[in-house]
Amino acid sequence: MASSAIAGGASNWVLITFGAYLLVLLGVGLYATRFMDTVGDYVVGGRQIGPVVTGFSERASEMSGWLTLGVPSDAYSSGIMAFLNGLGMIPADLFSWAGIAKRLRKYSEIVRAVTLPTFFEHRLGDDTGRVKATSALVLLIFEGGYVGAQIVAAGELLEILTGMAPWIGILIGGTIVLGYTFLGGYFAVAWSDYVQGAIILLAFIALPIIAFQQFGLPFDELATAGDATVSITGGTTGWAAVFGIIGYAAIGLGVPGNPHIMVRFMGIDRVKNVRTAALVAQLFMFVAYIGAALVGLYAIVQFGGGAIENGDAVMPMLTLELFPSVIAGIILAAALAAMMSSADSQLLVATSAAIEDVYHGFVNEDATEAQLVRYARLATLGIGIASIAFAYFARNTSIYTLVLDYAWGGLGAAIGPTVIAALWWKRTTAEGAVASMITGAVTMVVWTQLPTLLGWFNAMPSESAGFWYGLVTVYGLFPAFVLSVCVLILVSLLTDPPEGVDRSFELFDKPLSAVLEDDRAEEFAPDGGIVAQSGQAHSTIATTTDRIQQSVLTRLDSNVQRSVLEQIETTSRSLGIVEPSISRTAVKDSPDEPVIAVAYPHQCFDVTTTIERPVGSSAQNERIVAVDTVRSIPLRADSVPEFTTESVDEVVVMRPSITDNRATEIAKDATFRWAMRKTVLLDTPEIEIKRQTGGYKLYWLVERNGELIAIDSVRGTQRSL
Amino acid sequence: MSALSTLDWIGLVGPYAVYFVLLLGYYVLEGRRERTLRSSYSEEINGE
Repeated sequence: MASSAIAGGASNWVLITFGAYLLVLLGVGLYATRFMDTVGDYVVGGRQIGPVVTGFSERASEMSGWLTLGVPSDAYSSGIMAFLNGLGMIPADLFSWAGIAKRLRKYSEIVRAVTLPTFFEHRLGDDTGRVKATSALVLLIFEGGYVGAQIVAAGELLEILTGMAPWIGILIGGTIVLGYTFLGGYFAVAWSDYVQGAIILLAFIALPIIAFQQFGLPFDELATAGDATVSITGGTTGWAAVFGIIGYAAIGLGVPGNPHIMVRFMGIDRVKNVRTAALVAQLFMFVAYIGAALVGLYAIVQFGGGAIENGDAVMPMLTLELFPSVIAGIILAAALAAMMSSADSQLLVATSAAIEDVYHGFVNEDATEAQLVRYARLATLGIGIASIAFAYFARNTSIYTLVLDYAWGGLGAAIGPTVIAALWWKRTTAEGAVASMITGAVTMVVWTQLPTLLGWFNAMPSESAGFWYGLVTVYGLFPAFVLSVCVLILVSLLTDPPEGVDRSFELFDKPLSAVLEDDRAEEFAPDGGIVAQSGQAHSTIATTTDRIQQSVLTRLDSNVQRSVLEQIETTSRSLGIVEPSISRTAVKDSPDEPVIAVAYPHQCFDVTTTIERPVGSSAQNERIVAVDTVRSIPLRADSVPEFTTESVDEVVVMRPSITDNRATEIAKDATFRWAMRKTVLLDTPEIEIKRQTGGYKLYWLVERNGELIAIDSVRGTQRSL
Repeated sequence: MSALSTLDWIGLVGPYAVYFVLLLGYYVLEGRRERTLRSSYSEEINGE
């Protein structure tokens, strides 16, 4: 058999380059962890990722497992029908870029969210923790499924290269994934995916070209393998063909619900770059889907239809067959690295969901740092072992099916409708979201097992039943997504929507400059928001507005309206303030125009975190944390601002709602949480406050054409209230 | 004679061709929309 002849038959050069490439990657990864500094870096690359890398990595994050091994396998067994894998995915991805990316990017910035559960919690105004906990549970389950699929894929690769038994490949693959996660954590993921994705994409371009030079177009050869192979419906007709096509198209429904795609949307540096990123991602898809399908088809030509028992092996086998050993070694190592990187991030997302969102956010809000560190470590280990077990029991299921049924589909059906609705439908409620998530997840799981369940009761329709057979066997994401949407709408209409949604939705219709501004001086950036560095994208004027509106005006006078300028009581005070770059005089339209100053208090901390690592020296990260002492929330900043004491006339001074000690606790707690999200901590990190300052930042309040305008005295940004 | 029927060829190439046109349309129209938004926002802020 072709498979047994090649499995384990990889030349030494293949194995040498394979191993060398992985070692280099590991070295880069360990080195790169020194620079990983913020939770933003961990989850969304610090929102400094440009459009090309964002677009590329949005797609490259799927190159592991499913597209690399799964789609060629599908083409090998289904023939040209596998081209339909792009039928739903490509337009769904385009619609997501067009309809979700910008809104999610803006909104996640405004509500300081870096993860989907946090985004849902803020957007849906849910203070009960139900939405966060439910979405976190869904993530935990289906991200775990993803990890399992990656482990199976890694095991397959090792099996093909070395000829080891499948279970040993899975055990070693799982151990590598777990070890990698515990060693270095999540590093520079966008760039990492970029490199691996580029290599695999090049392979998907080169393999068909080389094969074409040898065989010409594959279709005539395919016809000898059977008519179904050269039929776009896989040789089916009637309802079977309809549901077959629906099944392929439904794969695209998973795009909005998969966090690894959504975080790329959140992570782009400038919203205006979304268009370019979309172009890159889409072109990537065209090439990857056509290339992956052609790899499977040429495998039929090369090895013969049905000659390879394990379809997942066709891509590695064709690579070994058509490429020189050294190049084949690099391509397969890149594939394994992409799987490890994906599994690592999926494992940490699942851990974060379990510990931060479910345990800390819902079960034990008073958990100590030591408890969280210990439980996070145990959770990573537990989820990792569960994923290895899942991989072992599912080892005979194709990677294509594993990913679609136990990861992609579940996330798509449970999370996707809520993502779309939260961004487009003001009426969406927390109750609707929770019901939708449960419906989507349960339906996906049940529908996947429906033929088996019906079989137990001898109720499974026969193939001749046409419609009913097609419906029962259609890809579960289709019915699960539809039901999830219906439940979301129904329950939302029966419950009360959160308040204050209109303001957020108004922002979506604003130009991008209303949300992102260039910074000119130090600025407090929201947690998980943009790192405020010169020349980069920055904290939002919308956030500034919200801050003033929610915290300043409402505290001054609960009936504050446009006449606020006449109502507020002003005074002159000597205050420690950040030196304004925009003077009060500069914002006046006329010399007599009244300008009220609002002094907003912050405590700023220069914090050093020491994290023990199992390999090499301890990692030390420095972070600037600013605590908004009115709202008691931690913010991020790029530098500790200098506060100078000056007399400020006609100033409304906001009183801190917390003590300095409490602010210090908040800063330390935020630093701890950031550290815990980025890696598996061996011990509670040492957090040292190197410097602490406190003072006020001024906002100028003026009236323009009957509108109250807030002007940031440091950045000069302004917005109508 | 090709192994693929005309219908199969249409099913094979058609979606990708349509999606490519959609992509180009999105890229062009989104660029215009963005420029219009920026322009109108600038006028709004500057009171022009």
